[in-house]
Amino acid sequence: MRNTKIQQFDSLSTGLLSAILLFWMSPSSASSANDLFDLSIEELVNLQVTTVSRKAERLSDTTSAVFVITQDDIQRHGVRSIPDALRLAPGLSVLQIDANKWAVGSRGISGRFANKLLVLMDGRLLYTPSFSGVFWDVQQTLIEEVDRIEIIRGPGAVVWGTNAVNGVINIITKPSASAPGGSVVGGLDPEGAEFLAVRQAGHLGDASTYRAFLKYQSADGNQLVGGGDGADGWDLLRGSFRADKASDHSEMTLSVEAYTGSMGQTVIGFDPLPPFFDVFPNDADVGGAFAAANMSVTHHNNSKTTGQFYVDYTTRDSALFSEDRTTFSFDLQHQRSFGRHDVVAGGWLRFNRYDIGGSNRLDLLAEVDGDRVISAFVQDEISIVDDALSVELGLKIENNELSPDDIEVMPTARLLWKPVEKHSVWAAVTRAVRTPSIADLTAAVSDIGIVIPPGDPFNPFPVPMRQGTVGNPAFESETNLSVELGIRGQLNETLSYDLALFDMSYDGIRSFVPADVNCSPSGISIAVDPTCLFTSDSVIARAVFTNDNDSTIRGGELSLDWMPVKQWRVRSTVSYARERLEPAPSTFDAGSTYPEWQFSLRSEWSPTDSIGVAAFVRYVDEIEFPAIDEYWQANVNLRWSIRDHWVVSMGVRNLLDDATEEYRSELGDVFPTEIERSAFLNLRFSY
Amino acid sequence: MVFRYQLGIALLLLGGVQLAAADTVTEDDVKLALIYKITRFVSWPGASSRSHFDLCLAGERTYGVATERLRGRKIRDRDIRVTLLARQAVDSQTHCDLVYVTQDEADRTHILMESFAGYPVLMVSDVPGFAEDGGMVGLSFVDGRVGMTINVAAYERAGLTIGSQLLELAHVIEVEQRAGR
Repeated sequence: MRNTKIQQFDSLSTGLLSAILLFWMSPSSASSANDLFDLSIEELVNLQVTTVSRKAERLSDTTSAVFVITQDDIQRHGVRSIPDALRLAPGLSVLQIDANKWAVGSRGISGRFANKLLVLMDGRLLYTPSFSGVFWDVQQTLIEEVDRIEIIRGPGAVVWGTNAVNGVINIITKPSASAPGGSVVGGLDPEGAEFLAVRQAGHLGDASTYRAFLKYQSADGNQLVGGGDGADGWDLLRGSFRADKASDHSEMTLSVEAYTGSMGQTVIGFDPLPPFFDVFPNDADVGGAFAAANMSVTHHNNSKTTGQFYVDYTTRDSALFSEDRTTFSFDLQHQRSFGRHDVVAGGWLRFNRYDIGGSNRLDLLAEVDGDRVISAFVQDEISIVDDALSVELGLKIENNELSPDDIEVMPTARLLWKPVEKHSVWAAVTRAVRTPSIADLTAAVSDIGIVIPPGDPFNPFPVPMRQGTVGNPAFESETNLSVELGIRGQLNETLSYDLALFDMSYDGIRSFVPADVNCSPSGISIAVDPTCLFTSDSVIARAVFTNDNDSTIRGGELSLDWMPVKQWRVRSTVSYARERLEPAPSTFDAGSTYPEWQFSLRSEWSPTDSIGVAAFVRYVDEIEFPAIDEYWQANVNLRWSIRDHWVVSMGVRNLLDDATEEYRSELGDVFPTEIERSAFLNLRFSY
Repeated sequence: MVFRYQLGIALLLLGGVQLAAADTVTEDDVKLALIYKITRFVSWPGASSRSHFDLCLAGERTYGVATERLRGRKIRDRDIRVTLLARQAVDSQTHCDLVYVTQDEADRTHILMESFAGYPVLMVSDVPGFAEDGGMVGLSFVDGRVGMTINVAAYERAGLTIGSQLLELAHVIEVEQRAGR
């Protein structure tokens, strides 16, 4: 009697191994059998990359600026949230606004609503099409379930579509068979977020596995910048279930997840009395749920078909706006090799259904209750000289119902050259597009930024002048042409490097052109009836969104990875991004909105197999708009595994300063809070 | 010593092994390289005082290539010594850290498994169904794809530990009840 249960078949990893072995086995390859011994299993596992071309590749063979954050990095540094993990990567800017809000940007463009950075989790879009950004507060899966985070700086448009202009972040969670059994994880952190989670994984029948978790998080909140209770405490309850079924030629994953919570914040509002603004606490109610099915089939000719379907519901009710959105997404792609060609082709269809409500600060000029995105791509990787030169050509075509007349055409050409062993050079030219959001098209927002008091040279009126923006139904897609060049390799057995340089030219990016001045609260235009000023407590000067600005961002990132002895690894990154805005005549350049220089250094030391000591130091340059000082910051972490059952992780975040102002919401809607030094303790018990 | 979470150790341990010949790569080469890599993720109980790492081979036809490929290499800081387990007699006193049973000698699988049962010896084979039948690490090579199947209960019985990073690359099998034979 035999009862054999196959827990897991990670065909991605196996596929990667076989891809490499096929390469080694190919008769035209000049490689020696002994070179096989130079490949490290671990290295391969950790460096497998699916994001760039939606198929597994070796990192050294990718023609993009890619960086991978692994679960090992997350554990070593005691990372508890996805934005915190992203701080480990070069080229990104991760700035915390308050206890539950982040501005994550890439290559020179940031903001709470950073509209040119696409973010996905297991192929599911986390980018919010209505407000073109990511609500990082609710993207809090059980961090132990993250397998890796793949980050592409620069465009990923061909494969990932519109809005993948400055970067793509692909968060990939573990298959359910990776850690069978149960565990309880808890985290104490008086100044930050505390959490408790239970997780269980095991078998479902002969060929299937499952994992389920329940996680509760809560945080007390911080102090406002300048003092006062920030009221930014939050809590979130999340339940998740995932099942994987694998056979020799196919894999299927079903996942269901739901969350509900409350995100505190201090909202800024207009006040007719000096200093003309007031703050009040507000809780945003958040919630969501999704169900996703992923399937992948490997055919006899080694071609592969993958498909995904998901339904994703999110709800958010805050002082600024409310949104209920349901997304239906169908995605299909096929990969096949023909001689020297390796072709991937696919497409997707996505429907969004919205119910968006405004507030006393946000008016929707037109009701949008849905949209549809249809997209198709083809990419061909052509090997010209085996293991020395290859070319990649790709084309994506996408149409979005929000800009129905635009057929977005996004081509790319990429080149990989390996002039000598262990070093590769790549270059790429790509066109990418950011499509208008519902906010760009229809939202009228009052009170962005500060109120200009009467008597100020910039305020010609006898009452306070507020600033607002108004959407433009004629707003078009922003386009980008980027040229990238990279070199990476190994200098010797202990030191490897990765350098990427870029020049990104933007055409028609969002500009603010003065539109009208209206009396408040009457709403009468001054141009129509100037006497309305006598009955007003303020005026609102509105700017309309137009596509009048052009801009160029140039910069580069360097990563070094040094492992002098096997117990010690040091990694460092330096990033530079400089924007040169060419503002339209009626608009102006407010200054740099992104830290020009960033630097990070991490040291990971493992005196024994069960103990890990990690330190992470980073420097963030000043930002001119909003005005934020440069700063240095450091985290330390000690991790200790005790006989397979217990893992203790303790550390201090933000060691160098007891409170830092990292960023302010560009919308001026919420008041920033001090990001505090915090000591934390994580405990995990597995059984 | 568990090598899990140690990155890039191969880079450190593999300095400067470059043989000149642009020879043909065979299935055996791939499997030997894989076996060599696998050892980095396996820990054997207790410290060994032996100066060699004993890789015992049940597979006469592979012996030549194995000695050539593994010459000069080290596993766990010990020089690899490849010993052929001759067909005629398996001396259970032969010291082995790892036994590799090739497909050519599939008929000896069960005898070898029994003679090393209870010893901390990593049993590896490319005989089809090896891990499913109670072996520790099975290698497969189908349609140009290499695969590994690891039987958790089997290596745990032998007192060995296998790092999670290797398990993540493999089929992992838990045999709840062994086939009675």
